[in-house]
Amino acid sequence: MHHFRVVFGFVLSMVLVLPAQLQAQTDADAKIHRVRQRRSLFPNLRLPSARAIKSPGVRFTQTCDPSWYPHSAVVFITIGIEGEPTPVEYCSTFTAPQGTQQAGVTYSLGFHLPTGTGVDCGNGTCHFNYNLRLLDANGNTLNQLSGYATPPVAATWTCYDDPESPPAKACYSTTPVVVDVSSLTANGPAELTLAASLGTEIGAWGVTQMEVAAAAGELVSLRTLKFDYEAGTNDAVGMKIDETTDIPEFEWQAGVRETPATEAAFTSETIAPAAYVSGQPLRVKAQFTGLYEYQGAVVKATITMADGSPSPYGELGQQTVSFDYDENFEWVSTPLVLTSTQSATAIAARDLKFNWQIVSVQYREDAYRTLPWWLAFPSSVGSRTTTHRIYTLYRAPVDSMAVPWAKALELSSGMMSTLTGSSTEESAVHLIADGIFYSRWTEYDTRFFKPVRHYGYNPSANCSCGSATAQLFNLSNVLSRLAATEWQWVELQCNDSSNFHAILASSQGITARPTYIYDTRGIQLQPTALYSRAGIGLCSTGCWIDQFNYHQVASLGEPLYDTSARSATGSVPVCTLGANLYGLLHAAYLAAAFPTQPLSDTGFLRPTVGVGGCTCQ
Amino acid sequence: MSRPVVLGSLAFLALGVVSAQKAPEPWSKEHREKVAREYGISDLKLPYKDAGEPPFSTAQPVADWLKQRFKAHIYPSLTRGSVLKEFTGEFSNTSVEDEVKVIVSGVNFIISVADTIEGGGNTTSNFLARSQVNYEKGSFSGSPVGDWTARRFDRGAGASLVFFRKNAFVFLSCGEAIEVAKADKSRRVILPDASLRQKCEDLARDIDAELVNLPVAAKEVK
Repeated sequence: MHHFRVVFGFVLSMVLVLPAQLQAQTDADAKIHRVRQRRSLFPNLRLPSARAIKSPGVRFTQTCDPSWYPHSAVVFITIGIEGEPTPVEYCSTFTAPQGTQQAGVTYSLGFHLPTGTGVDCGNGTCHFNYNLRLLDANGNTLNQLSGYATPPVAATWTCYDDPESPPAKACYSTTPVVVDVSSLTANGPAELTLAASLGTEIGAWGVTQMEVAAAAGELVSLRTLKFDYEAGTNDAVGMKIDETTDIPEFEWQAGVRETPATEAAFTSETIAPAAYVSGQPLRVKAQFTGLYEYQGAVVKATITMADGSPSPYGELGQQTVSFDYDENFEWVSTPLVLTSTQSATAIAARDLKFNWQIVSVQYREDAYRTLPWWLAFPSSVGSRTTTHRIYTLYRAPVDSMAVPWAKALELSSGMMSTLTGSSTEESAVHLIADGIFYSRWTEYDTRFFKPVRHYGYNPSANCSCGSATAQLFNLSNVLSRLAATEWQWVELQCNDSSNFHAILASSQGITARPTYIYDTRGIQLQPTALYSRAGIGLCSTGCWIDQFNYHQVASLGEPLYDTSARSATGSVPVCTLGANLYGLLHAAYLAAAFPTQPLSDTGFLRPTVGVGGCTCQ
Repeated sequence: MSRPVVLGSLAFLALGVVSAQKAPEPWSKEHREKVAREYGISDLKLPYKDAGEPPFSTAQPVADWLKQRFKAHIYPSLTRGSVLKEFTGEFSNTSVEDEVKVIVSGVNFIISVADTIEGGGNTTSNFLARSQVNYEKGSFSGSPVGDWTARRFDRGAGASLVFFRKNAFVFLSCGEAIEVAKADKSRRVILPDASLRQKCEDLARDIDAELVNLPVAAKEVK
C-alpha cells in the first residue's frame, strides 16, 4: 500500500543520512517520538478498546457494538499510527426511548500537524477522508458529516499550538446538529447507530494524525422522577394504586418504569400516577445522568395534555443540576425539585406529557481538555417525553382514603370533573351520588382498570359488614367486579352503594358519612313510596314498593343523597320515573321515600366507613 | 352542674335504657339473636353436635366446582392461613347471543364455612339481621334445601335463597334475564322467567350436594 511505501522510504532515508546531520536528526526523532506519544485531542471520551474497532471495509449496516451509555453513543477514530490499515471504521448502537423528540449530535474533527520534523504531512500533500453518520435501524442515514481534510482545509478550522506535545499545530472543528427522531420513537423505542469512518491515501504516516469523534443521543438523560418525595403537603399526595399495590419508590425510572398508564393493570413497568390538591403547583424531584464530560446542565420541561394542547400547569420551570458520583459510582445529578409555573383548579384525572428539555450543559473543568466543546452543544436539545397520570383533587384526602387509591381517584375525579377547588362540598357529594346511581364510570376513560359494568340496586343482594355505627366496605371486591367481563349488573345493597359514596368522597377530601335510617321501635320501616331502582329501574318499565328493615343513604351532614332509589309515579307495573332523591333533609326525605314513616320514630345514625374485607360470619 | 340539668340528664339516660330494652341496637348481638328466634333458627335441633360430627373445614372445593362448572368469578373474602373460609362470586348464563344483543341472567352468591358446628346457623342469622329486606322461611318448592332455608322473590329483579348445612352458609341471588344491546350496552329486562325460582332452587340443591362432600376438620384426639 502506498502509505507503507512512504513509511518505508522515510525509514530508509534515516539510515543513509550524513553523520553531520545525525544530531539534528536525533532531535527530530525525539520530536517525532513525542508527537507519537501525544495525547488525543479528545482525551476524556470513554471509548471501547482498540480491539473493538472494525476492520476496513466493514459495512455499518452490520452489527455494531452496543453503546456504553443507555441512550447515547460516542464514536472515536484516530489514524496515523504505523501499521494501521485504513480506512478505519467504528460504529456503536444505542436506543432512543419511546417519546424521544430530538437527538443531539456533535461532530468533532481534529487535525494534528507536527512542525519541524521535516516529515510533516508529506510536505503538505497528505489528506484524510472522513464520514460521520447517524443511522436508523434500517441503515438509513438520518444525518451525516463527510469531507476531505488536508492541511489547508484544517487551517480554516480553529487552530492552536499544541501545548501538550510541541512542536505541533492542532486544528479542530465541531459541528453540532439536532436531528428529529420523533417519528422513529412515536410507537416505541428506536435503535440508532452512530458510525465513523476515517481513511487516508497519502500521508506522512505516523506523524500527521487526524481524529474524528461524534457523540449522539440523549446526552443528558432523565434518570428518575419522584412526585411524592417528602412528608407534608408541598409535594404530591401519598397514594396507592389499590389495596395491595403501593406506589414504587420512583414513579418514573429510566429503563425500568417507562410505560404510560392505560386501562390495563399496573405493572412493574407502568409509570405510577401522582395527585395534587387543586390550586397547588406540580412539584417533582428529578434526577439526570450525563456524559462524564458534563459538570452540570440546565433542564426544564414543558407540560401539555396528551393531545398536545396546553395543560393548566404551564411548565416545569428550569433548574440547574450538577453532576457528581453517587454511591454506585454513577455520574448523576443531585435530585432537584422542579415546580410548575401554574396550578390547576379543575378537578380531573389528566394524562400529562412532560417534554423534557436540556437547555444547556456546562463542561467539567479539565486540565487536559483542549477543545472548547461548551461552544459546541446546541441549546434546547429535546430530551424525551414522559407521560403521567396526574389527579387534581378537590381537597387533601381524608378518613379511609387518607392514602387514596388511584382506582378510587379514577372514579371520583371523573364524577367531579365539572367542579373546581372552589365548588361547594354539596355539589361534590351530589355529583358522586349521581355518578354511582348512573354508573358514570362507564362513560369516561380510566387507568389501571376498566370498569365496564353497571351497578344495580338489589336490597337482597349482599352482605354488609360491621355495625350500624361502624361499617366496612369491600372496595377491592367491588372494583374487581366492576371490571369483570360480565354483562349483568354488579348488584349492591343500599349499604354498599352509600359506603362506596363515602369512600369516593373521602378520596377527594370530603367527610361524607352515610346515614343509616331505621325505626327506633325495633320494627320495620313503613312501606316505601313507589320507587325506581338504580341501574335496574332504568331499563325496566316497572317500579317497586318495598318494606325495609332499614335503609342507608349517602349524606353530607343532614342533606341525604339516595344512591339506591329514585322517586316514581304511577303504579308498580307501569310507572314514570321521577326525580332523584338528592339533597333532602330528614323530614323531606322521609316524606318522599317513606311517606308514612313517623319522623319521631325514625333513627338516623352516621356510621363511619372503613375499607376492608367483608364477611358474613 | 345545676340540679335541673342533672335530673334532665338522668331522665334522658332512663329514657335511653327503656328505649334499649324496647329495640335492640341495629346489627347488635341482641338484634341477631332476635332475628334468629324470629326465623326459628335458634329453635332448630340439629344432630351434629350430639353425634360429635366435625365441622366442614374449607369452602375451597365448592369454589372450585363453581369455577369449573359455571366459569364463575370467585372473590375470596375470608381465609385462615391458606384455608378458604368465605368467598363471594358470580356468573352469568347466556341464553341468546347474536351480533346485536346478548340475553343473560346473572347469579351472585356468598358461601362460607364457619369454624364451629353451630356457625352455619349463626352466620345465617347474622346475614338476615343485616339484610335490608325480610325473607320467608322455606324454599320455593316447599322441599327444604340444606338444614334450613329461606327464600325471597323480588318481582322484576330476581329470586334469592339463603340456606345453611351444618357449619356452611349459602346466599344465592338469581337475577332476571336482561337483554343488553352490544352497541351501546343499554339494557332492558325481558319478560319475567316463570321458571326462575325453580332454576334458582335447583342450583341451590346442586351447591348443597357439593357442601355434603366438603372435607371435615380432623377430630380432636383426647
